[in-house]
Amino acid sequence: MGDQPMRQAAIASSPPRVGKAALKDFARPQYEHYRTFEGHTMAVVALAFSPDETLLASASADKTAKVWNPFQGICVWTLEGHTKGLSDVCWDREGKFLCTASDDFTLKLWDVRTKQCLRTLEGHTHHVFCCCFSPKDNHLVSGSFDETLRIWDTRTGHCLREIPAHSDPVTAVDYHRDGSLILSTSYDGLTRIWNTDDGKCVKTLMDDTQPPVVFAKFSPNGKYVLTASLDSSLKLWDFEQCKMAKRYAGHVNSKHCIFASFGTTDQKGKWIISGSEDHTIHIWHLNTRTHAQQIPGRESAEEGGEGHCDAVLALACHPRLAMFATGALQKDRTIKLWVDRSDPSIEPGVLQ
Amino acid sequence: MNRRLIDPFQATELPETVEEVLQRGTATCAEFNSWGTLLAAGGDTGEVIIWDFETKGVARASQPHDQAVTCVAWSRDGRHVVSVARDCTVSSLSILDNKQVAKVKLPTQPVAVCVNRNSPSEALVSMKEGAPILVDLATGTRREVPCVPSDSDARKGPRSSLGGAQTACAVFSRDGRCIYLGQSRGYLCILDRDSLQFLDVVRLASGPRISSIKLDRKGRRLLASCSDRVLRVAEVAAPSEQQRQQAFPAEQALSRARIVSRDKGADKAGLIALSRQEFQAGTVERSSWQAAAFSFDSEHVAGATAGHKIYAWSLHSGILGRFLEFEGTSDELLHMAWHPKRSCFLTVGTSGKIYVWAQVYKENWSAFAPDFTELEENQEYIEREDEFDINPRPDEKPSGACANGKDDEELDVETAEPIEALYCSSDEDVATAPPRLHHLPLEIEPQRPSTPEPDAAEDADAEDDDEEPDADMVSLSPSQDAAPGQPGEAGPSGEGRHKRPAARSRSRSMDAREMPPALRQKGEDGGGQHGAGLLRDLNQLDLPPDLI
Repeated sequence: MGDQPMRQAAIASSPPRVGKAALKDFARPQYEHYRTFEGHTMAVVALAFSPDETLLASASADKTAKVWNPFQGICVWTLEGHTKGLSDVCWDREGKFLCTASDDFTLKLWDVRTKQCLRTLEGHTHHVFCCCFSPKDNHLVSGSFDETLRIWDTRTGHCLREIPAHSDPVTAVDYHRDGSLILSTSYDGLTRIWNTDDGKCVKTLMDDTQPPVVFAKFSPNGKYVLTASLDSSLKLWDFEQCKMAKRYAGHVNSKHCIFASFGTTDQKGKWIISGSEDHTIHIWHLNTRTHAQQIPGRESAEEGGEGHCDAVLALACHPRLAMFATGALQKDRTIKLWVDRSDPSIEPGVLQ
Repeated sequence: MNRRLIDPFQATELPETVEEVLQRGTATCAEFNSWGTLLAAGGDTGEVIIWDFETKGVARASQPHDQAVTCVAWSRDGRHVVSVARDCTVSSLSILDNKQVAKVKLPTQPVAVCVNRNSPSEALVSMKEGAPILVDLATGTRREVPCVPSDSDARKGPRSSLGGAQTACAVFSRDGRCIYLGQSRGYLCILDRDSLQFLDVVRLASGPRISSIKLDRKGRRLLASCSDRVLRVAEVAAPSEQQRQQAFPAEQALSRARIVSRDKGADKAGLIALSRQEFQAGTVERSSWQAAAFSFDSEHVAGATAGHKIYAWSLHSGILGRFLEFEGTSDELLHMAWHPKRSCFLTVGTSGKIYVWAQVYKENWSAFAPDFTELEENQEYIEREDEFDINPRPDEKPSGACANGKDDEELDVETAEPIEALYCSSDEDVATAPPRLHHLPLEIEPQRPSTPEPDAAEDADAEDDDEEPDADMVSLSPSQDAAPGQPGEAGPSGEGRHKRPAARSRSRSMDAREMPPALRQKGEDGGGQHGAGLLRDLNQLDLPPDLI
């Protein structure tokens, strides 16, 4: 990255003088490399910070998931048991359990304290691609290449409901913060919202051109939906009115299911963060849609620098600090943590 | 959140059919917590089971009593379940840690219990015979609630009062400062909770025995189920401080009772005013009411007969809105409870099953396609002159795309409203209340290794059915399923159940194993050739060709 942060600091120091709100839009994050975790033997495809902020879970195509301590930089647990590569990992809301979704058509529930696999959730008839715990943890939803969503009772491991949600592989699922709605997206280009209680569709969001949608999540307050599609764009929707509110572009996303996230933990501003297939990481201003920072990648592993050397797919934002984690594909296989040391949320000593 | 997206008319429609049946052991009564997220069910062997109403799965189970539970009630914060049983005890259960926090012996058999909304350790127990008892669960002290003495008692003097104790049913008012009492001979009373003195007494003109009373969610109406097979509704008002000071003892109650009937019209003089509407199940079939309830929005009143027939009337118009009859093998109704937030109620049958009644969902097709609207009836479509012209009009913008001018509006993605499901509009005093427990933290018991799961579940059910009442058994928790086996082991437990998927995956081409199969993992070919990798994988997955 070299002098990149310095250059950005120079830009940030001369914003037009138009009030505080505008100042925030011109503020720039200065994310820099903090740590690199090596351990996975194949692509890192999903990442998730634990709700108690102390652990980071990663899922990989090497059939394992790993749990890391992001501040000490060590791997504390390797979850082994799936017979095929993993596609997603998620925490329950108390940080006691993990769920992994695998290409072996199953999901597994893991107890973080005893480091055991508690349940294997069977029922999907194709790769399980995404999963998410409900806010009350009593059920979880999974999406699969069999084009369905399944809702599972986490206590018993039984499938409560199967929703024939889409006409192509389901790429992402998410719960609304109050648990009453489920969001799903698919290669069929649709983003659908489902009523959790009865499993019925309440809304469908679609673009005119209907590019395959590869990721979606609710905003932290549950009023908007962020989607990523294979036309290399991220879209923010006001889903109540079925209206696209913002569109973010500039990165490359035409093949993979790349994660995106709301960066709302910074005190400097609100960002949209996403990886890119050109090995870079993009950070946009949420409201102005302009680029706030771009973390460069490397062409190959031999090249010097700290960026990823393959497409950056996995991304997870820390729940409280100005920190996020990224994971990249096969040639890279690493997980990298990025921190904005200039943000007030990074107090001295936090990073040891 | 979903309320704003759901058809408001459909959301309030009355239930139509049995949607689900819950069974574990033999249930005798059931009650929802304040938010309808959890359901407490009492069983005939003295167990109390907490159901997660979202997953319809058992979340907790315990055994606070030795004999059949007759009624359960939730504390307002959802942390405690108070139950009364035929073993003449009242018990309070902390559901978070599944511990019994209090158990108090009662002199006779209780039939119903009500918890004070403002002090969860105070329970009001209605007895099968005799006056209701106010129990302080923390200290174990009991106070008998006075009743209106019968005419003969008053005439004959104290001698007959020994055997003449009046039977009454009682509930707390919403603020917990008053007690409503329904009694034989049609007496309906309101008492001050502290002094246990009468604030107002009315007597229904025909003088039926009031067998149960229910308060609606806003605390403004009482539903009295009377022995003359009529459901009556009374409007109740909160007493002023002045009225509280004018409370009078039971001896005066008889003389101060006002006789009310619906023909006399609304009598606004006292704290209790009988509504003009009264409900009975037709003039031919005069069955008596086994249970009665207000609907979740207090717009309807429902009555259920022992024959499992349910009537629901509009409270304002008095029109019968729904008549439901239980179909299938005869299962007499014991109990009914309405969900506090949804148009959904449950009934408990003598077989011990809990039936969940809900509306039949009508598919909202326009939800699947944003440009699709449903019409009530056929319409003649008049096409525009140039509607099917090949050349689009130049001024027409592509629909759906965001207007660029609006693109930069300030959006707030963080500020969140309080979650609707957890607060009711009537909970103004949220801030002062103790932290609520609206759902139970997830606990997953390890499985017995190498047992296919569905079988394990069936075993558990069977065990429950055959269960003998067992005083020593403290917990019926799901851990019982796992108890005989050793704690489930991580990897191997799934082995037996992997057969089916494994067989399928073998039919797929071999290089699936060498390559990371899902789309997120297509990167192995190197920077310039991701597309090739993707193509190969998509072929492998038999996706429709148009996607590739």
